Amino acid sequence: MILRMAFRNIFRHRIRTILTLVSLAFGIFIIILGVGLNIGMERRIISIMRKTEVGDYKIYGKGYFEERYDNADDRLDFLVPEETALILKSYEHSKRLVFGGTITDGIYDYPVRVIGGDREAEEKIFERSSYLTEGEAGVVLSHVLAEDLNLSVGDSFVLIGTTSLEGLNAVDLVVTGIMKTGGLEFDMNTLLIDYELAKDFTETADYNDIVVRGEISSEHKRELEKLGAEVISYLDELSEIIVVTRLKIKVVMILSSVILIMSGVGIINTMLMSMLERQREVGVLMANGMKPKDIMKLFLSEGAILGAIGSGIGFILGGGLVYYYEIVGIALPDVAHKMKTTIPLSDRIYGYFDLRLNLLFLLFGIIISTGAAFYPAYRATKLNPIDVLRE
Amino acid sequence: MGIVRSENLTKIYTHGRVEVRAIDGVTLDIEEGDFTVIAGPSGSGKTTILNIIGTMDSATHGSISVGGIDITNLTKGERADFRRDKVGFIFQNYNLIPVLSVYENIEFVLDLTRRYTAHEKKEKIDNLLKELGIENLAERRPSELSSGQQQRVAIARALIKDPILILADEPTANLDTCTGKEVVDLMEKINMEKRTTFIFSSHDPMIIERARSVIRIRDGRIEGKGL
Repeated sequence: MILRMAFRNIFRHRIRTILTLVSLAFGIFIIILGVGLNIGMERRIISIMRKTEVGDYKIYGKGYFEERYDNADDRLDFLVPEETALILKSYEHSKRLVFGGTITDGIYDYPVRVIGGDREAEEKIFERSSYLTEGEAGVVLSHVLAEDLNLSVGDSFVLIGTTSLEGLNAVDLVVTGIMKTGGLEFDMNTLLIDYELAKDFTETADYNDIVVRGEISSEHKRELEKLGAEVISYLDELSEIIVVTRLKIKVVMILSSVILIMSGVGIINTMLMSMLERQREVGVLMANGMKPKDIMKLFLSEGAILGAIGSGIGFILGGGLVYYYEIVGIALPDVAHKMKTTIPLSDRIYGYFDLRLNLLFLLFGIIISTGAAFYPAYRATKLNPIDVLRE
Repeated sequence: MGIVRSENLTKIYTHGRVEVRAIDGVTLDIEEGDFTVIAGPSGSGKTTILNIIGTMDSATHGSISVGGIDITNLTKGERADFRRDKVGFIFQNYNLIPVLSVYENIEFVLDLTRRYTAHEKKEKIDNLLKELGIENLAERRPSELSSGQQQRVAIARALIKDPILILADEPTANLDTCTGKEVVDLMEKINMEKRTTFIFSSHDPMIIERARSVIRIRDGRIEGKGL
């Protein structure tokens, strides 16, 4: 009966109730949508990076990873010891030479990241051919770079770079393919060439970057490290991206919590008005033997029902939209492609519907709403039935 | 045997530094099955006596027992239990819960006792509604009822738990003469048939005429008893 009364009391003042529900639903909607899109973005970026660039493990020369930003131009100084090949024999891997260079269109210089790898190994690890939008393996330009340089398959360009001996080098190349991975950083500034060409260009006989697919055993990790190589998992490799995304999720959660707390204040107001209007009824209930704990239950139930309905609407709308975006995705506008950013983004944002997490948000909304009903409920239990029945 | 017995009952309200004696040394002995009116002008202390008998309020001095239970020093929880199990209230403004139907307004009283199954509740309520001639109103909300119908529902609500005592505070004050008479007829009939004790607070001459005993009160003191 308490629940029935609570439910009906809520809809006594429809407009007031609807406004309260809207604010609660909005808070939950925003929190679910914001968190869902951010998690989706994080997962998408990690997935693209693993598929196109990072693999499951990266192996670098000692000291490179720690100071990778300071040493971006000196990658050729951090070579991976040759003996690592023996240990990695049983793993699917690709040994590469990665270095910075410049392509010029005669007016502007475009900085590029050149990856020189074995075609077959790269194909095995990254399925490079699946990202080709035209042409074939060989000298493959990322599509944004190709657009910026106005280059198509068959066009030639000049790659300029420094050798391992600090000398300048330049080579005429012909575009054999153009690729699009969906990873904005990769698509913006990457040039794939064959390992042999990279070796000649940089005058380097070794590798500075090995990508491994699969789990490296801890014993092998130790051996690799003993040889002076750095074994970096994709999670460590992408830790900064993850930190940024988690930070964005926290910001969304804080903002949404503020909205929810404001809704909570609205609920306190609504429930307090409702309690004041219904003092006489509370008096009648008390006269008939209802105890303060049952009066408390009645008002808390109203708060909980309000919370369940409002948060439920937010959950359905927010969750539904996130689920829709999980399947369809949101295309980033062209401007995102044009951004000269090194922040790894993907060309589409996908949502991620985490049922357990979203149910937690739903519960959070119900708890806020029930908590907000506590003060009006407490006031109701303190009413003197004689006074309120006399009024 | 007296169903309500009080000795030297006094209630003092304090408003700031001013003390008001709402009732002063009231001694009562109301018999079981009585149809009693506490009569007096407004502010004489009628409702205060009713509130103390019904454990809605407690006396400042004196003692009181209802149905053989000393209710003078009951705790808040015990007073709520007492009201739930022993006393039915009828109010001047009917005080039905507007969001509940007639049936539910009666049902919630039984729900509070937690003693009845759904089937038992239904049987009991249906019988009572029939007895009071309001079975056709069961699904209606209070706002869809006339004043007389609302007061009949309030009587049903008071009766449903088979109380030892019904306390009616000015039950005819908001009713026209004809409806008021019908309501008093109904309560008298219940009193005769079920031997339920009724105590009214009223200055309605019609109730006073029909009562089997009248307690006249003025300025918180009993002026006289009898008819």
